[in-house]
Amino acid sequence: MSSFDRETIALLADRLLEGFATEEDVRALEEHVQSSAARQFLTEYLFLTGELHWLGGVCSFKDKRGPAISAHGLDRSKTPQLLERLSQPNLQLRKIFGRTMLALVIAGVVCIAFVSVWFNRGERGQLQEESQLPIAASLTQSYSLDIDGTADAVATGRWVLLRKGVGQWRISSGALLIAQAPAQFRVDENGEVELASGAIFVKTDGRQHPLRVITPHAYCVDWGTAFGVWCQATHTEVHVLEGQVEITPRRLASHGSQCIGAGNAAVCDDRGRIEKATCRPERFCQMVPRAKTVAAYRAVALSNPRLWLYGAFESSAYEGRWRSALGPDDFRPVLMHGTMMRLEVEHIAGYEPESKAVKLVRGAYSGDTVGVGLQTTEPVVFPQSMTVEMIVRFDGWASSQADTLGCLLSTRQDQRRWGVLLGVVPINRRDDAQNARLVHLFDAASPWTETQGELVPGCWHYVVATFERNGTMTRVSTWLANLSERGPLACVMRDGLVPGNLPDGYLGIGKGFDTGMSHAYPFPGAIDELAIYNGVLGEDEIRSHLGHLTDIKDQADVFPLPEEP
Amino acid sequence: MTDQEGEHRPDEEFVRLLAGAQRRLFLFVFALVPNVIEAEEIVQNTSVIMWQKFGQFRKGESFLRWACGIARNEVLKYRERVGRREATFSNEFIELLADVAVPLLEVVDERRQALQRCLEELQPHHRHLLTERYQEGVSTDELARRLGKTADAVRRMLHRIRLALYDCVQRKLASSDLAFDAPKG
Repeated sequence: MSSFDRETIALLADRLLEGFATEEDVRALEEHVQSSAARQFLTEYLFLTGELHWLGGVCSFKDKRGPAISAHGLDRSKTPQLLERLSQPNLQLRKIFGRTMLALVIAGVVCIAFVSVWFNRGERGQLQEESQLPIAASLTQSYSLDIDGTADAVATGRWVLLRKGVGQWRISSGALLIAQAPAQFRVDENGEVELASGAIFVKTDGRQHPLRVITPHAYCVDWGTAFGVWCQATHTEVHVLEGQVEITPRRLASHGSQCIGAGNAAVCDDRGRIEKATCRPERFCQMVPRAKTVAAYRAVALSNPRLWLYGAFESSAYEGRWRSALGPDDFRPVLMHGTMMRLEVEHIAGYEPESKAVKLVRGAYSGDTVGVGLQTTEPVVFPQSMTVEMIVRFDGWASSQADTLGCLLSTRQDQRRWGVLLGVVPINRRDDAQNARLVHLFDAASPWTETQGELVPGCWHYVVATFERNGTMTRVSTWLANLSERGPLACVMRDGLVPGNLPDGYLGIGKGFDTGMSHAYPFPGAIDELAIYNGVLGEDEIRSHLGHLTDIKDQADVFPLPEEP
Repeated sequence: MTDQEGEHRPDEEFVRLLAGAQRRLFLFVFALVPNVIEAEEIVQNTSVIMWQKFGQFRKGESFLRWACGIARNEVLKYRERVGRREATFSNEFIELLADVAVPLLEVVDERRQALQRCLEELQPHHRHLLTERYQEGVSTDELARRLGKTADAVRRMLHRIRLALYDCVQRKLASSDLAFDAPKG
């Protein structure tokens, strides 16, 4: 029995002892107490509490038992010594009590005298207690780590709460544990890991078998060397990269355990059901990222409590729900209206070779625009205010039509209510440059709101836009940095008022919608990362995010506001 | 048992045995019904039944085990009588716990001695909290009010103290070679 089980049992028993346990608590307690060791612990714990009641004098048996026995046939007159003898243990107890009470009174006086000191020293005392506990895990590497508690040396049984960043710990058993914020875990004296929430990746060298990860839903026993566990509110996902992991639901009324092999994944829900799933190793941070990389940026973005949607596009499945609040199913590639040939979204190297991106296709065929983009399979409801961050590469225009539009992120509800959160249009200049201008649109009857931002063909860019409803208008600020040319972060539109509001609907990534709601306006280029936050990020935060991605040059001049339409 | 068989009369003998077993009997019942008032009531009922059936008790048999057998039945009867007023262990679970509890009662005296030593080692404010909770019977809500904390915080503190006491008892038993091996199975 691990210390986790022990504490859970004690906590549930406490609820019962305090009289506020629910039926569910009691059943959970019964489910936890299956082994003989657990039953012994529970019994001893209840004995201990019973002793405290007894020692505390709550159980005044002398007064109660006398009349009870007498009333059922024991005659006090015939047994004059009975009650005396009966009360002997209590007399002894009272003597002990007397001494204990005297000590307690003295202790109480001392306690009262130092009560304020006690309160002030509470935190220090806890740290002292913690420092006395054996070390269960030691931090070996970290990136941008913000942690609740002591990170360097994790005491046995102490919860580690990661608020930001990534940390790698060496468990006392020798295994490596990499946790990415937000996550909460602890390690017990046997090297077992309890994961309360978030994702961890565990690597063993094969000599520490079996290593067990416990979540609220399942016991995951490592029979291999590398696997990721992602604990969410209603279920736990286990993704196995090497070896095997045995998953056993914590609910007893389940169908038993299952072994998941390398390249496979499974989901265990809170009803004890285990179902196979697609293995997605990209969901787990398998090493602590280096500074100024996409992985570092991603780690920080994924830690942000306001994150609403994240698309890393590290696999060809285009999943867009990764650690997000977005309700609908995954994204799927869609072909533009009129595209007759078979096109596929390409999976290519991203801004860095280690990071992957999706390449969206735009071309011309017999005078028609053809292409392919991504779209949610269900409509979505957008936050009232939001921030979009994208790492994109613009590849130039396939044709030079003046009304050409490429959508980076868009939605549409009907003919009028159209939302091009981020789009690009050609810049009609005499030098015939292929640059694209960043634009926004929330009302199909209004002209584009153009920013001063230009995307250069062949270059990777960091694009950010914030959106905030302002009556019938939307307040938009847009930032742009040319990553390939190490350009500065420039605010290319500050507090611009764009007519209309963002309508709810299908979310298109790298594509838009025409008046008939068909797929249209593909973006000619690639998307490496996409993050949408629920709320408006401040400029400092945006600059900080970019700082994790690359070195930032001095702030560029803020471009003047475009004329309001 | 008859008068001729022992030095004591049956009533004296009964009270002598009961007095020696009353604390352990209470602990046994409390483990099955973790509610002080209910446990006391069941122990009282058990004492009456034991007295009525004392004639069936055979000399040489363990009085405690005999008492626990009656108490176990009384626990189940009590549950039937009062119904399911609040969340309690299932009958099957009570049977399981009872099987574990009886042999553990054999070493409960050693555990108690260890507990008393551990109580002495507690920090004064922790001991004071236990005194208020268990000796004065102050509720956790009232303790929270007195300490200016939330009831949850007080419960957590009590939880930590009890677990610390448990660990202390285990350490003391281990160091004095009094540790008791769990019954297998």
